[in-house]
Amino acid sequence: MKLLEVQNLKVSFRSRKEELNAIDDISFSINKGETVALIGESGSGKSVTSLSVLGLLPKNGRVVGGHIFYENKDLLRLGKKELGKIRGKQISMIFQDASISLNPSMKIGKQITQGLAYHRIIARKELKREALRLLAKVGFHKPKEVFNQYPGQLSGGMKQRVLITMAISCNPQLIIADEPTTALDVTTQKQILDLMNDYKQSTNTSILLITHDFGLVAEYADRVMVMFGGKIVEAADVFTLFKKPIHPYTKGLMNSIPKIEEPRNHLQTIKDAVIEETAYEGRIFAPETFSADEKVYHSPSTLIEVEPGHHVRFFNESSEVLIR
Amino acid sequence: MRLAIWKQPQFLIGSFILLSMIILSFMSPLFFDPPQEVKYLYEDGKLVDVAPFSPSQVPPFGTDKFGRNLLTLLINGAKYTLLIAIVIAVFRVFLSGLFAIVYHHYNVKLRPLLEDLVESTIFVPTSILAYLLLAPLAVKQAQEGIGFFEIVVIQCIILIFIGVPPLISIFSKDMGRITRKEHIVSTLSLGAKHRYVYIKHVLPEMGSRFLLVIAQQIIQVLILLAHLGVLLIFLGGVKTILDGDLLSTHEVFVSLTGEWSGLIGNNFQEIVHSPHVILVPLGFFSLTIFSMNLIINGMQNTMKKIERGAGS
Ligand SMILES: Nc1ncnc2c1ncn2[C@@H]1O[C@H](COP(=O)(O)OP(=O)(O)OP(=O)(O)O)[C@@H](O)[C@H]1O
Ligand SMILES: [Mg+2]
Repeated sequence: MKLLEVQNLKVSFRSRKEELNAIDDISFSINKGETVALIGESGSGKSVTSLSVLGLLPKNGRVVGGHIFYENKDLLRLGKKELGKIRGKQISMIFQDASISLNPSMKIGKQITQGLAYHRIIARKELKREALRLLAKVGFHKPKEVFNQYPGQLSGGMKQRVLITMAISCNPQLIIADEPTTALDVTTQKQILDLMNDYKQSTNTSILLITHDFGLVAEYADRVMVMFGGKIVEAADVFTLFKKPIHPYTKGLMNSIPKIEEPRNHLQTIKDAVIEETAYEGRIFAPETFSADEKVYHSPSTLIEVEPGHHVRFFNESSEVLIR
Repeated sequence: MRLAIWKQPQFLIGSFILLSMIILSFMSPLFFDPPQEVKYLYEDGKLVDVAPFSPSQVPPFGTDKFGRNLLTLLINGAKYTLLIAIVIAVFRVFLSGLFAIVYHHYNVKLRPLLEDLVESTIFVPTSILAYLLLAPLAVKQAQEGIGFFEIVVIQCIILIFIGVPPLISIFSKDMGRITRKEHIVSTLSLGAKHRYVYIKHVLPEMGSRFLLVIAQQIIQVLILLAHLGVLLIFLGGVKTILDGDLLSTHEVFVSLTGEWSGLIGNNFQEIVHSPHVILVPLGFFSLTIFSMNLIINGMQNTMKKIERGAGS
């Protein structure tokens, strides 16, 4: 059953009179209880996609087309009030950098109960007890202590746990995790993701896992979408994609999986990688879908289902090639 | 802020100096007689000197050109000077804070226009702007006579409003910066209403900003007052008296409140012969600004500590 369905989403940013397309015609869906990964290098549009879902785009960004259906409601056409009811309670977010995603001068206890308080899920005097329960649930041994602490007194991993606590506080159906562990060391990263995974399995929650790390995708996701330049270039279930990646960009990304032992640097872009194949089974890949080079041909491209559930973006031969 | 600020020695020392000046000033009528005008100094029945007298003749700071003891005058004037500066600074920040909230919240379309307007006024020196607005008032007072209280209020209102536009622009930029912060987006993603976010997240963060800017504005106002004093604009207006010997009288403006800038203005002609009449009031201005700077540093240190996350 489809929980979230994004159809032909287009988002653009206005910067100095210029209109810039950040998301170009993206479609995907997430089923109940499923973890879907959105992977792509920095700047490919992952965060913009996730912010669009909850209507949290920065002021200079706007959705220029498409639909985002959640339980048969188009989130893009909901009023402020209705959207407010969905945020946190139905769909919640975990942000990338916990050190800036928590208010440094508000106590942890107060921050994690904000959602419960707005949505009036439980009585005000129950808030503290619920907060302590949640903190214990995400693995804090001394919830009472943490309740009264400020974010600055916690380590990075602990702060990320606090963010998770906030995100699960209202029992959402869908959690959008935008690179929830990028700022953490490998061991802590695993603990955090295991925590999310356990939560997901015990509650049948769906997760949209945004990452640029194929290693995490293999371990935690059911399906994967590979994104580049605001477009999805390949999408399939995890097994298919790992066994038989087709698009050159996907292959490049896979080869750049960082080794566990190596220090984790922000994912290197793959523009230096040599693209050997230019076609698959007679279909040509559109150059713009794997090269960030300004001078490449800009050619209309479409997603084509090469086998059931496996979509790849190819050059659309029925259209003209545009030269930028 | 709250508790941590009281652990900042700079903040404590600055506040101590300021508070003692104000308290002394209010209590001064108990210790000192009202300053006497002693214009001529006789020795053995012979006239040896006329006011202003130097600090060695009348310790510790000498007298002004009317022969009034400078120390007494300065302590007496401290309450007006400091309180008026504080009142003007507080109102400037309060009003611009309010405007900034409204401005930041509502008029998205008008904003670029307003921003240009504000930017263009920032480069006009405030003292010139203030002089242009206050001078006609002084003329009117001289011609028609305006009540003392009335004129103080009008002057303050003018001084408040000329400081507001640049502050609105600063505050609304601050708010823009805060509302783009990740933790605000994170709070919104939980379903918080914009009003809640303003009250619980944006305003508390602005709160410490407001206090800091009040302190900075106090300094700005003091400097502005000193400039206006030189230009013979005194808070509370002036009375015109005749000065000089019986044969060659001329009109002199005297500050009614005795606040410090008035002293500077009254005595400015003496700067070459008796620099102390200007330097001493300027010294008091400097001491005040120094203590305000200590206070500001203390506040900034505390804020930095909180940013770094030590809590309070
Ligand atoms: N506020 C903004 N103003 C203008 N352009 C923006 C803004 N935010 C994002 N963009 C543009 O949208 C594109 C996608 O950005 P996005 O933040 O979604 O990337 P991302 O895939 O999340 O990258 P990362 O891995 O670094 O988080 C970028 O090319 C960026 O230039
Ligand atoms: Mg991102």
